[in-house]
Amino acid sequence: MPKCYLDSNFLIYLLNAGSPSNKIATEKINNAVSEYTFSVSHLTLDEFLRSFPHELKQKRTQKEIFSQLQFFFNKILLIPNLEILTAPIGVSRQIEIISIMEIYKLHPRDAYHFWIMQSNNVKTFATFDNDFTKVFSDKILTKL
Amino acid sequence: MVIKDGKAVGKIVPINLPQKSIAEKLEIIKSIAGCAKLGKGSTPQELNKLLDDRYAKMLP
Repeated sequence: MPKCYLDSNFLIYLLNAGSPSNKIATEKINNAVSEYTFSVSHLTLDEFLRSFPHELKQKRTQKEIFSQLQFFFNKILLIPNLEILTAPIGVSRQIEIISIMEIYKLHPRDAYHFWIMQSNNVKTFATFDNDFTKVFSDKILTKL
Repeated sequence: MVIKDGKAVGKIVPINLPQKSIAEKLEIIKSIAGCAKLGKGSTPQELNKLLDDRYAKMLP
C-alpha cells in the first residue's frame, strides 16, 4: 500500500473540530484510509507538540497543558498503522539537504520533511502548507 | 536495537500486527477527527510562523 505523509498542520486541523479546515482534513483522511498507510516523522510530531498548545487559546496551567497534550498526542498515535519515518542517518549523506533546499526552494525544516518522504518512498503528502509549491508543481509529490 | 541501562541487549523483532479492516480504520479515524473543540485555531501561515520563529530563515 502506498504511503501518505501527514504534516503537523494536517494533524492539528484533523483534531480541531472548530477549525475551518477540519472538514477538509476529515474528508481527505476518510477517503485515503482504503488507499494509503499513514506516516509521520519526529519532525511532524515535534511541530505538533510545539503548535498544539498554541491552539489551546484559553489560559491554562502548565499541568493542564501537559495533560491535554498527552490526550491529543495519544489520539494522533491511534491513527491506524501509523509509521514513524526517519531521514537517512549516514554522515556522508547529510550534505544532500543543501541541494534539496536549493533545488526545491525549501526552508531547512521543510527540506528535511521532503528528504524523509523521498528516502521512504512516500509519494503523497497531506498538508495545508504552501511552501511545497515547487515540489507539487514538478509532480515529485502529490498533494492528498 | 533494544537498549537497557545504556547498553544494547538485543534486536527488536518485528511483529506482524493483525490488519484492521477499512471499516475498523474508519471507526478509529472517526474517534480522532474533531475530538478537540478548540475554536477556529490558527491558519497554516500562523502555524508556519510559529515554527519559523524558532529558526533563522536561510533563504531569501
